[in-house]
Amino acid sequence: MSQTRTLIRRKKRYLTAGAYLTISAVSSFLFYLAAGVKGASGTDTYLGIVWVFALSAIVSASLLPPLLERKHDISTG
Amino acid sequence: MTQRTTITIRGMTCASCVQTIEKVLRETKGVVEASVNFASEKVVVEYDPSQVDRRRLEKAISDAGYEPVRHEIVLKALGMASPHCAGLVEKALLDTPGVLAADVNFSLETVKVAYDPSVVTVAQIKKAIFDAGYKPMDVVGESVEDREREARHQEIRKQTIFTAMSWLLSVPIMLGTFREYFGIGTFTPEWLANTYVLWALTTPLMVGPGAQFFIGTYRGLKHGYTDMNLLIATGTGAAYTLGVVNTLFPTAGFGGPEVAFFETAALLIAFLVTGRYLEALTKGRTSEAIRKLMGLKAKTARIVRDGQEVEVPVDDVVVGDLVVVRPGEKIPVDGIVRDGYSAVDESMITGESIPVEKKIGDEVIGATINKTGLLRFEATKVGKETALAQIVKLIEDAQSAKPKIQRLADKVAGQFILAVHVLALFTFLFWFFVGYDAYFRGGTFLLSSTSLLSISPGVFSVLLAITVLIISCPCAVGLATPSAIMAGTGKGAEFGVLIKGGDALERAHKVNTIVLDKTGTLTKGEPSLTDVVASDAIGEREALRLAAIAERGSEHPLGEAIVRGADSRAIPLEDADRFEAIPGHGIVAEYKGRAILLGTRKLMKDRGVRDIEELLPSMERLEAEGKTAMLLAVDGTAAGVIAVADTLKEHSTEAVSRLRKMGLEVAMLTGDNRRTAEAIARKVGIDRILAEVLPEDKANEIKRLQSQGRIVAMVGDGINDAPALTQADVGIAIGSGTDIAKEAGHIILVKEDLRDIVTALELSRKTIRKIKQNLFWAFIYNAAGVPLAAGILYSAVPVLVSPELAALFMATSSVSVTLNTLLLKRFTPSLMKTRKPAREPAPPRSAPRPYGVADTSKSIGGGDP
Repeated sequence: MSQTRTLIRRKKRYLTAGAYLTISAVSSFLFYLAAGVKGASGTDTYLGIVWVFALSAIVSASLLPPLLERKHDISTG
Repeated sequence: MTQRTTITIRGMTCASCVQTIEKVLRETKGVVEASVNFASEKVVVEYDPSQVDRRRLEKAISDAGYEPVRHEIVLKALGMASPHCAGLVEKALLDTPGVLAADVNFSLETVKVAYDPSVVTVAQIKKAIFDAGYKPMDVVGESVEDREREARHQEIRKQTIFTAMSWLLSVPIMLGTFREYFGIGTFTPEWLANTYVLWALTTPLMVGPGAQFFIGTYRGLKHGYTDMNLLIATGTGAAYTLGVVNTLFPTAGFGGPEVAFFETAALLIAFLVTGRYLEALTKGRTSEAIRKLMGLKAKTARIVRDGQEVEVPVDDVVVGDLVVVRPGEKIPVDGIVRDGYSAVDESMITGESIPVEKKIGDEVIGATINKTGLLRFEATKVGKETALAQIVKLIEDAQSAKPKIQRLADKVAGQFILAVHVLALFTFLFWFFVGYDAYFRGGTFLLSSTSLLSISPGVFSVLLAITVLIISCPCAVGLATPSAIMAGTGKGAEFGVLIKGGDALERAHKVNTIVLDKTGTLTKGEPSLTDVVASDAIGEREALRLAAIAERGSEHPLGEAIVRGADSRAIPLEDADRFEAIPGHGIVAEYKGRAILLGTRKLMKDRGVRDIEELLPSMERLEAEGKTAMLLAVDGTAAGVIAVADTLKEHSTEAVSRLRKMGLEVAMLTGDNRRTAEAIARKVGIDRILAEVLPEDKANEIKRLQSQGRIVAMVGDGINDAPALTQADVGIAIGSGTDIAKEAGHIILVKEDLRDIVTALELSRKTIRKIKQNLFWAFIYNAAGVPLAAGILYSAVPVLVSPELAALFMATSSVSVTLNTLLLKRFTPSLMKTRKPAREPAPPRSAPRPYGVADTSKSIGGGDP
């Protein structure tokens, strides 16, 4: 029983981490596209990608767990 | 059945840590409630002991990245002959509820015990060792107070070293960076401006003093929490990384070696670490009052055992022990005087500056100082039960209980970190895509050597985002309320005003109506002799003497009041030869052949007493004043009128007058008839009387006032008036001895001085004003700082707040909030400003005053006080 719970918890954690990374990667990619359109220099674009990735990860790390938890609570009644 | 425990925590850095710890604990199975006080670094946890224990609570805290400070003592356990004995002692201790860990050192015969003080006492730990067959000896380790003090000193020491190190490294970094400016080059060697040298100097700063921010961030992120460490780590980390990139790849396009950014990282750390150092220094001072109280506890006691006086540790004193205290010594525990007479300085507990006389039968309070004579008293309360221990607990609980205003501030601060990161992201995106092209016009950062023209749009936007992250740290918001509440409640304790929490303070400052219970609050609650009117033939003194002799055999409270009145006037009394009580009418007595009658008009008429008419006007006058008047007849002739009444306490009138001066409406609540109530109210200066209220209706009467929109404070006896005190917005209980824990109400006045109500209200007004000031400055700082940091004014003035300046602002904000709170330490009640210096000891609570000292009666000139 407790093993199942650990597995579920681990799965949840991986899922959340995956979600962070996806959101951050998508944000960075969108930034990359926008920077390209704007005609930003290569170094500025790289710097921007890192910065946007870091801040997006931090923001989604704070926002996602309670949101996922709420969703999980709703789905399990 | 739930239990409460308090755990001291190290490692909290801002209000979001409060949220983190509370969340972690609330998510722990079996925890009902958790409330963290950031300023005192303590958490009070209410939990179900059948589901969770203290060990698991501590684990949850340490898993979240914080350090729970354990209560530990080291005891000697004599008599251990083998390692097996050590195992027995350890087992006995671990089987004791509340003991968390026991570490026995067989060779040293010592045992180190970690325990939960809310469950087990040191005396119980010693008993467990004793019951296991070994002899526990004095505590040779440090007390929990010592450990807490040590932990605080350690933190101050650590931040002192970090601050010194930061500035020692930052100054050369600054000199190197600004070498070209202000003539610094004249005394600064060229090599110091080399970016590799600057890198070499900044790196120890990052891995030394700066590491705490990264460690804190790692711990938080590991558990999915964000706090102020993350803001700082992101800011300093980004500045340092940019510096490294610029040094290694000068042509990468980030400004080259001229804009290394090492000084940004160095100054950020230096300012932030200095802020933490000052915070650690000042945070300790807000909780000074409670530490002072804890320090009052006596270490040893001299008790009589087997007819011998022996000195023992104070924790070994048990209820019933006869304790001996010599002049100048500290009274170790609470008790009742069995022998001796002395004056005792109770100022440390009650705030009363005048020593109080103690005689046989009087209560003494532990931690007070015996001044003049030898006292022998029986211990009635020891350990956690003493008044001092209860006061400390009450204040600790008060400081942990969060008022609404703080809950809101914590919630805001908790969400703030996230909001700031979102804002930093938007700041970056705005300046990168729109702002730079639209508004960039060169200029400079304040407190920075970086020329804005020398950096790329990407670096420009990142630096603005870093500044936003650094400037918005919500430390000041987190400290604003708890630091003021700690200072306020601590200050109250100094004056004998125990405030049970921030909510009480919050409500007390809004009070506009004070309801005072009459009996036992405004008055002494027991009848006293007030007037003696005598016929010319007998005289007042003789009339009182005969009345007292007649009443000597009576157990009626009115009779006792007459006897006490005669005693206090040093009138010698003898027993009556014959005494008969006539219920509802009075008494009949015979003394040396004289027939004495004392009682009602009816008794006098029934017995055919002569010349009553002459005394009736006096009797009616006294009755109109709300007093109980009795006629005295000697040998069949009316001889006088004796009046008895519940008299006002010494400072009732002054207290009412002061409360009215504060703009409060003062009302009196009593079960007495209207005439008596009006008489008392007139004397004390109260216009609004709620008379003939049954005890069970007192709470309803308060409710009625509240329904009229009034914010009501009820003042009464903490035990008898409990429902009304609870119903009131603020219940103020007048202390009735040492049983503070039993008192109902939100504020407890340790001594029976109604003027302390004024002190309590003044203190609440001052504290709430301080909280509002603190919150205002904390929020204003962020409200003004964040837009400035985001470059809102840049289009008008080509100057920007640099990350270094943001760090300076941030450090200043939390220190200034704490310093503003410390101004509360200068609070002096208005009463103290007008009080005359006293020379004579104050009388004991129920002690009679010598004949002719006070004048509450026009008839005799010496009312029983």
